[in-house]
Amino acid sequence: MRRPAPTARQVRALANRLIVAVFLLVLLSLVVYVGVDLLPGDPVTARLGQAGPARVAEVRAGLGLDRPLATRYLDWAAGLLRGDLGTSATGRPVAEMLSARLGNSMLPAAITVVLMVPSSLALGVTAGLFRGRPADRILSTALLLVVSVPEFVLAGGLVLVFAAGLRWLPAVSLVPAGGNPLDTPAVLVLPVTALLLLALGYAGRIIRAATAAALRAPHVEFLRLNGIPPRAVLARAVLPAVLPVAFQVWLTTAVGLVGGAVLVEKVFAYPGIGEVLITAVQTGDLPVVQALAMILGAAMLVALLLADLGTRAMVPSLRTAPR
Amino acid sequence: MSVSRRELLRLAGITAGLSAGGCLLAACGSPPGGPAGASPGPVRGGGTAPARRGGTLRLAFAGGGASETLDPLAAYSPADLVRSMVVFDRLFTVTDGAAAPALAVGAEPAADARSFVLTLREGVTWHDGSPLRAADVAYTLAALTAPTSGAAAELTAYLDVAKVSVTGERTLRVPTLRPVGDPATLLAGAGLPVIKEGTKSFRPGELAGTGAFRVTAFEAGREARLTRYERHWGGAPPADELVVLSIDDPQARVNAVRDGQADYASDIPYALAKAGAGAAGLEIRSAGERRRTGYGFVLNTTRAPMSDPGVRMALRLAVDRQALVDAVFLGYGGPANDLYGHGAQYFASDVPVLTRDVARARELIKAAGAEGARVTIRSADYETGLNASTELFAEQLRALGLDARPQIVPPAAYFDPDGLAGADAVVLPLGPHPLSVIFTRSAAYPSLAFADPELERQTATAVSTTDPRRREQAWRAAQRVMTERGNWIVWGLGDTLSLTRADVTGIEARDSAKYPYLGKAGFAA
Repeated sequence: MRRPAPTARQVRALANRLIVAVFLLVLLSLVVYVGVDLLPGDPVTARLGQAGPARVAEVRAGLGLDRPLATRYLDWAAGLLRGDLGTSATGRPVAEMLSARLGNSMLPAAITVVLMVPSSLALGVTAGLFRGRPADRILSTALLLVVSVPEFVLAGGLVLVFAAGLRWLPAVSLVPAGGNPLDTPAVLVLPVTALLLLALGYAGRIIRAATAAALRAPHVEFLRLNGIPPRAVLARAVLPAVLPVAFQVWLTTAVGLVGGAVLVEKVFAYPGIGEVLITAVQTGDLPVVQALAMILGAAMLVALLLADLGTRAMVPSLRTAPR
Repeated sequence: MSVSRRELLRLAGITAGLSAGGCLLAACGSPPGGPAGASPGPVRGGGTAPARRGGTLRLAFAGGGASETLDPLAAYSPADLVRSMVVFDRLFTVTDGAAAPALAVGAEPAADARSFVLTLREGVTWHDGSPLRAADVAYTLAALTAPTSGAAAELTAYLDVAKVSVTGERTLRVPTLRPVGDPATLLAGAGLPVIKEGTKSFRPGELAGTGAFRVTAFEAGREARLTRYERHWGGAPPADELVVLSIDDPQARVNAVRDGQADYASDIPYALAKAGAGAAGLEIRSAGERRRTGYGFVLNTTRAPMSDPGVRMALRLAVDRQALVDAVFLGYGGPANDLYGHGAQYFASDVPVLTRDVARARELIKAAGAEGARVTIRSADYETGLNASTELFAEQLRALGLDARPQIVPPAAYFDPDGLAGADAVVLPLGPHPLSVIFTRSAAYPSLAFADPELERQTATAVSTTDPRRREQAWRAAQRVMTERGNWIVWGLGDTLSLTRADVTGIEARDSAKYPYLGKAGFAA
C-alpha cells in the first residue's frame, strides 16, 4: 500500500497545531509563574521567619524578591528561552538541582511504560472481550480497586509485604552518593511495581471500555455474523479501533507517571523530582516549583500533541478528511 | 499544590498502623521489656556506653531535598545541620543548656560590655592541615551578615561585624551594637559554624572544616559520606565513617532501620513510636527529659482580647494540659509551666504547673467583658502535632465560651508578618535553647513581643550584665513577669524520639535533639 504524499492542507494543519502549541506554552508559563507566586509563603519567610521581619525584608531585597511581579515574570520567561530555569532560593541554579533528579524519576517511569503498554492492552482487551462475564468482573474489580486505593497506601502495602514481611526487597530506595539507581536495580522494583499497578488501573479500564464499545459497533457485528474467525475480527476490526485510544492513554499516563510519582517516591525515599517538589513547596522555594511545573506542563502539552498526531496517523478517515 | 505536610503525616499514621498490624500478623513479638499489649517506654539518653573505634554508622534524618547544601551558614534541614555540626566546629556549643568552649576557649567582655575579646583554642587544624586563625573567624562573621547569605543571623542584631578587628594570631576584638554581658552564651545560642578564610564554594574534596569528620561524598537530598579526621582537637572520633542519609518521610526512616538499611532514624513521630521498635536489637530512644521541646502558644497582646492580662490568665487556667499531652504526645511528654526554655541554664523550673480552674477562668473572661470574643489561633505543622494541638486548644477555648477558630496555614507561609499580626494566638515550639535565644525568638515579631516595661528592663539587664549573679536574678525576674502576666501558654514538653540499633552510642544532643552532634557517635564495644 503506497502512502500518499502529504498535501499542502496537511502541512498547513500541522503548522497550525504547532502554533497553537507554542501559544499554549506561553499561556502555561504565565499561569505557572503567577499561580505559583500567589501560593502562600515565600522562601525567605519560610527559612528565616524565626529571625524576625527586619532580616526577612533584608534578604528578600537581596534576592530581588521585592521587585514587581511583571518584571520578575519577564526575567524568568527570558531565562527560559535561553534554557535558564532560574536560581533557587538557596542560590543554586534550578537546572543543576533538577537534572539528576529528572533522570532518576524518568527511569522508573520509562520502565513502567514499557511494562504497561503490553500488559494494559492485554488486560483491557481481555476484560473487554469477556465483558459481563466472571473473568471481566474479576479483572475490572481489581483494576477499580487499584485506582481507588490512594497511591501511598498501595506503596506502603507493597513495603509491608515484600520488604518488612518477606524481606525480598529493600524497604527504602537508597541510592549511594555518586551512583545512580541502575547500580542497585533492586531499589527500583517496588517503586516500579507501585507505579505499574496505578498505571494499569487507569489505562486498563479505558482500554476495556474502548474494546467493549468496538465490539458493539455494527461493522464488527456484521463480520461476526458472517462467520469471520474471532481472531481475525479482533485483529482487523477491534484492535484498530482500540489502539488510537490506547495510544493517547499511554502517552498521557507516561507524562503523568513522571509528575504523579510524588507520593510513591516519598514512601520509598526514592531520589526523584517528587521529593524536590515536596521540599520546594514546603520551604516556599518558588523558582524550583515554577521550573518543575513548567517542565511537566510542557511535557504534557507535547504528549497531547503527539497523541493527536499519532491518532491522525492511525485513523485513515482523520488523516484524509478535510478539516 | 499537590501534597501538604498534613497529608504526609496522615500517610505516616496510616502506614504506621499498617506496619503495626503487619507486625502482629507476622507474630514478631513485643519488644523486650514491655508488658504484652502495652507500648514500652522509650530508652532514655543517646547511648552512654563507650564507643569502640571503627565501624560505619548510617544515620537517617529529615533532609531538604535538592536544596541541601554543604554551606554550614545556609544549613536548614536536620540533615544539613547534622553535617554542618560534625564537619565544622562552633566557637561555643550549647551543652546541658549552657555555653561550653569549642573552637573558642574564652569570650571576655570589656567592662562596659560594649565589646569582647575572643580567644581561640590552640592546636586546631583545618582538614587541609593549616591552623585555625582569628582571620577565619572574622571572615565567617562577615559571610554571615552578607545580605544574601540566607543564614538566620540573630547575631547581626548584637555584633558590629564591620568593626571586628583581628588582634593576634588567635585573638580578635568584637565590638557589639548593644551591651553583651555573656558573649559565650550568645555565640553558643546562635550556633555559628566557623569557615576558613577565603572559602567560596562548598564542594566535597576541596571543602575544609575543623570538625571531627571530613566530607568525602555528597549528594543533596540523598546521602553524605564523612570520614574520620584523626587530628581533630577533641580527639580522634570513634567511627571510621558516618553516612548521613536524607529520608524525609518518618515512616521511610523507620523502615530503613527495621530493614537494616540504616542504624539510626532521627525524630520519629509519637504515633510511629507507639508501634514499638519492631525488631530485635532495635530500640526507641528519647533524648531525655532535659531535651524536651516546649509546645505552646504566644498570645498577641497588641489587640483585644489578649491585651487584657485577665484574659491571658483565664486561658492559662482553662487549658486542659493533660488532654493535650495525651492527644499530642501520646504519653511521650508531660505538662509544662507556661515558660519556654525548659532545660536551659537559669530556667525557672520551680514555677509550678498551673492547676486547671475553669470556673475561675470564666469569671476572669466575664470580668474582662470578653465573652464570645473571636480568638484566631494560627498554626502550621512545621513540627509534628502542632496543628493537632491547635485544634484541641481551640476546642477547649470554645468550651470556655470564646469564639476560637484555628487558622491552619502551610509551613512556608507561617511566619508571614501580616498573618502573624492578624492572629490572636500563634503556635510556637521551642527547644532547650539558652534563655537569651528563647526571649529573642518568641518576640521576633512585634505582634508576638510582650511590651512590658519590667520585662524589657530585666531581659536587657540579663543580656548586658557581666555579673553572673545579677544575670541569674534578672532572668528569674523576667520569668516571673511571664508567669504573672505574660503572653505564653506553654502547655507541654514533648520528647524527641529516635529508632536506633541498641548498640549505637555517643549521640549527643546539643542545641536540639532533632539534629544531634555525631562527633562522638559509634558502636558500643
